[in-house]
Amino acid sequence: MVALVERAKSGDREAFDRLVRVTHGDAYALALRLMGSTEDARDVVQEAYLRAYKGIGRFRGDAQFSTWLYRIVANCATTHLGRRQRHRHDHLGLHHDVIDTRPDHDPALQGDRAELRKRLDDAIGDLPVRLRSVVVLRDMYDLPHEAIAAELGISVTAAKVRLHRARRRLREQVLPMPGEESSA
Amino acid sequence: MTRRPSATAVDTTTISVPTDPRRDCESVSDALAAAAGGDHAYGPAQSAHLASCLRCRVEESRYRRLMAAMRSLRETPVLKDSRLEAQILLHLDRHDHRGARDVRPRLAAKVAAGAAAAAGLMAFTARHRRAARLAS
Repeated sequence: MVALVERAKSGDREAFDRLVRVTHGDAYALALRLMGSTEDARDVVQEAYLRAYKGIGRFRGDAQFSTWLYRIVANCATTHLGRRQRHRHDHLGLHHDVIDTRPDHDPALQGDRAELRKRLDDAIGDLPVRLRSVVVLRDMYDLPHEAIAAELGISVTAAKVRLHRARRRLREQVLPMPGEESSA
Repeated sequence: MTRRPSATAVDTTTISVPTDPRRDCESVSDALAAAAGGDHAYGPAQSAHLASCLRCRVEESRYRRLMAAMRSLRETPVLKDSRLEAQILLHLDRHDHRGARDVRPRLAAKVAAGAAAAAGLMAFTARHRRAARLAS
């Protein structure tokens, strides 16, 4: 990967194409989680790779290429969501198909985990975009608070407040405490 | 379940203010959401409350389960879009071709501007020399 990135930085288009081949699945998964629709996710990923292609010379290599790419995807998604909200109401559903290829020895446990993941996936899809973006980038993709704040155009404090609010909502909806079930 | 309010017995050295256990739970609940990702540490009062409150400990364990599920969700692959790779590469091709097409007119404009500037300079110099010659 490092060698590919170095070749791509020196203008080798073939190397960049190979980077696309290796990383586009993850980039698409992130875009899909942020956008909630396959059509929008596709647009965001195409735009993100174009930005990455134009800016690869500025990639310093102090972070992983995938992290750098996630930041670009997040930035493109923010731009796209802003554009979309100006044109039509936000669609919050995130009911895309998932394939679970991981084996597990205990079918009941696997069923529980799959059920939990499904409920969590749905709950993430039901979050408002401003909360969803932060929790997905931080808790699923491990982006630092500073990077998230920069890509979403908000302060670090605001990013943390949104993150805690999002976690709380998810916990209440997916794993409610006694007395919270009715509101979940 | 929750810590009972401190006894109201008056000590001669310190006066203990009774605390509302529900407020303690609420305060810790905010901290639980923050601490779930591992980038926030509990304060001494929050730790003390957690040690004595079963409900808050259950809530803490649910946050742990939630975070584990979030991480495993990332590893759950979404259905691949078989056409996406080709679309990305096509998008890049279009950008490359557009760039190549744009280079020629830009270059021609620069050459024309340079030629015009050179002609202007030559005309200005010639006029200046002629004026100087006539004056002498």
